[in-house]
Amino acid sequence: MTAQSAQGDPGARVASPMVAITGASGYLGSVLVGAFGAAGYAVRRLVRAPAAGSSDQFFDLSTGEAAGGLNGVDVLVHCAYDMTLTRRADIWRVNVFDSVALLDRALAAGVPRTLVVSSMSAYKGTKQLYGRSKLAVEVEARARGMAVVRPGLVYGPGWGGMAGTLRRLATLPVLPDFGHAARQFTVWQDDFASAMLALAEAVDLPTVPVGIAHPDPVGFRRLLTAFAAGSARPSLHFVPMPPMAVYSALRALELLPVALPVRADSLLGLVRPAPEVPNPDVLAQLGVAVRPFDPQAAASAETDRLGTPDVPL
Amino acid sequence: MTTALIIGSGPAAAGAALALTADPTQQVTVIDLGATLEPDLGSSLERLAATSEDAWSRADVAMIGRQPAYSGGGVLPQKRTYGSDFPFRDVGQLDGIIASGAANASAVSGAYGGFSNVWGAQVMPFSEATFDVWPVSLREMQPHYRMAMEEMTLAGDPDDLAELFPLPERARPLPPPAGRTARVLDRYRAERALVRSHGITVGRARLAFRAESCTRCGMCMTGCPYGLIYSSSHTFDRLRAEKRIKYRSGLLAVHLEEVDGVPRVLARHPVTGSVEWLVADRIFVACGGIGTTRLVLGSLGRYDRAVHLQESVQFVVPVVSRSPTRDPRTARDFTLNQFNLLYDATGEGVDLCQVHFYEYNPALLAALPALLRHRNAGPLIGPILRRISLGLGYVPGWAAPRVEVVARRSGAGANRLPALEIGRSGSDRWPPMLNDLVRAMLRVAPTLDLWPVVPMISLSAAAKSYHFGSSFPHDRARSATTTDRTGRLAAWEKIHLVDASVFPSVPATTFTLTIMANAHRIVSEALGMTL
Repeated sequence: MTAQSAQGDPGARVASPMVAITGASGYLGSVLVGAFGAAGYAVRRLVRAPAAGSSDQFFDLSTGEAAGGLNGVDVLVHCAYDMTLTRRADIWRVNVFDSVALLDRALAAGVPRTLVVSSMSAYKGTKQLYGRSKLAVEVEARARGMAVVRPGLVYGPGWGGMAGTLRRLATLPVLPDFGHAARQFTVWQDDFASAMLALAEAVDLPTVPVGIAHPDPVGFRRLLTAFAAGSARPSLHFVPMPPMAVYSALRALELLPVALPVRADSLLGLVRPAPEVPNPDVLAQLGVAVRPFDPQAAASAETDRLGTPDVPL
Repeated sequence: MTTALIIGSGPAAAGAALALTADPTQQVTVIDLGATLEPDLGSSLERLAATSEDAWSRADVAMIGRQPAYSGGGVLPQKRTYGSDFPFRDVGQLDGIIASGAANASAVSGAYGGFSNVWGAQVMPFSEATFDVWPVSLREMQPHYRMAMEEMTLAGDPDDLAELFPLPERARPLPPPAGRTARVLDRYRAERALVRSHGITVGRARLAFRAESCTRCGMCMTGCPYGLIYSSSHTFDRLRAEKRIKYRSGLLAVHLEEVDGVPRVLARHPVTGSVEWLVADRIFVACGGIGTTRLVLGSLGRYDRAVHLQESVQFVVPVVSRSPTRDPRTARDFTLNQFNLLYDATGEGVDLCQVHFYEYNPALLAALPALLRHRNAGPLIGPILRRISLGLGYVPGWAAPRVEVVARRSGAGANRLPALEIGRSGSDRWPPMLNDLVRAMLRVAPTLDLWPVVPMISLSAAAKSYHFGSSFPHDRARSATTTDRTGRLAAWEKIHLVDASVFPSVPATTFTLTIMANAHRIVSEALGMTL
């Protein structure tokens, strides 16, 4: 199903297929809004604050008010995840139960294709609550015949999500070194968008979780070094830190009414990453290539965002 | 007409028989040892079944409701059915079985209906993810599951367990839950998100019994006097009454072979020692995981080599609650499994441990520590019984120590099965996944008011769970040790193994339903039937 031939006759003037995207105000969601729009889709953003006069529809994961927003939708992409929650019961209630309720509404509304954005943190045996909650949604999505994708660390000019957090972390005077175990599988945001478009238009949906990341992991130090390159810092100072001690400290701080730049649970995902990218052959069969981590591109992405001319780094 | 021969009368045999008798061109014979209830107990049972509960004689109830002797040490006693041990009795099938250590020497049944005479009646299909390692998908299994559930008459209520194990529309409602169960379920519903975030799902039992006729006499665990709990003997009773099968008891299959493409089985009469060859167009072997393994190893001359079976190892976990219920001795409840606690160890719906919770039944009294059974401890019994229940749990076969069997030529006399040694592969070590489960149970204990008594958790010895198999697992290609989708080893074209010996994996999410459904599938595919 492409934007040009949704009705089967390439020469006919046809309505664009409709994609609805939850979490469209977030980093991954906004990347997909741009990519699907550029590919000719009519994009319906399902967001908590719809822009006046736009095609946006109100959607709140915790209230699930999206029934009308799914009418006429050809592809639903479920990106929404409430990162503000820290109590495990709240995380489960909103991000699992309410996600599953959305999937059921999509089925009831006759949405023919749903892509659930999970995470590389969702892997067998993970102890991370974020990863466990994503896994729980995956099980439900697969039972409903929906596709599940596990993006790696998405980075690019948008600089959001975990990549944005790491980039901000890279501006600190002293940086933690969590050792060799701390690493991530990465994906350039355009490659992520290409993969999602390919899945939206694939003849058959994959029945297994699809990893969207380059199979070579990137160490935490290398990531921070690359992300810091755009800020013109002369050098970075890494200090070895036991990750679980930092985790415990963050857990303790989460009990206080203060906003933290990073959640303890996110740290677990960093220091206990997935062992590998799952089912990379699926993307290969769809003709999607994921480029390896490119420090120079990461740094360039910074300058693009700032709107300044390219500067040799 | 074509002829089919089934060996055995347990759930696998019943599944095979149901598929075969759906084809009017099949002439079906079942051979079996066929041990049954002793005549005096049978007479008592008939009297109970023929009258309402208020007319039951105490003597008959005492006979039929006889409890097994508890030997202590946290080891479950061997169950009794209608006061009898006939499902475990040696009528020739245990001759030559040598159990090492505490391994189960009664792991093969010679009873009419096999071990389905003593099972817990819990039925759930395997999860979709379980079939990832099978050459058969859940979708392909669905029509066969439906058939098996229809035959068993499933009772269950819609709840969270339906996410992994969808409840058929035709399931009948369960009787009201017992006191502790009602409280646990209420607490679970109130804090469902928190409990689920720890990987634990709670739901009511799914049982193979005709719940609508249950009078809640409390005798489930020693055998329902009204025969409401499914046994595969019920299926064979019906098929025999309808003259759809020819049933021959008193025969022990001792050798299989194919001669010029014709399969045949040598059967021995254990009482007389005489033997006879039985020939059919196809033979379906359903002697149970270990019984079939022994028969095949002997038939193919595979002696002195260890074969490892997966076993979904069983453990017992006593639990206590802070808030008391009313004295369960005064309540009228059914005494089968009341509710299930499912633990997803890795989050993918594959590594599932399951605990079945039982509330009061008289056997629980016998299992209390000796100090509490002293006559002077009487006043303590009530408060204790109001706070305790018993969990019977299972760990998936791939995460638990295996059962090792070795066939020995020395025991293979003329017209006899080979001797078979049964033991544990390695040690009876505590599966790490069980540690994870206990930790998760402790995390949710305050929420559910269900506290596992960790020092009293005990692991059953080899083959004691009766949930074992996978000695000749289905695979994409058949070989000397693997079977194709229709249960055929490379050595045979028309001899099909149909019981748990062909399971590629043995999960912890109940066993019997899939045995029956898979046997039905095998036969259907072997005969080219479409459902």
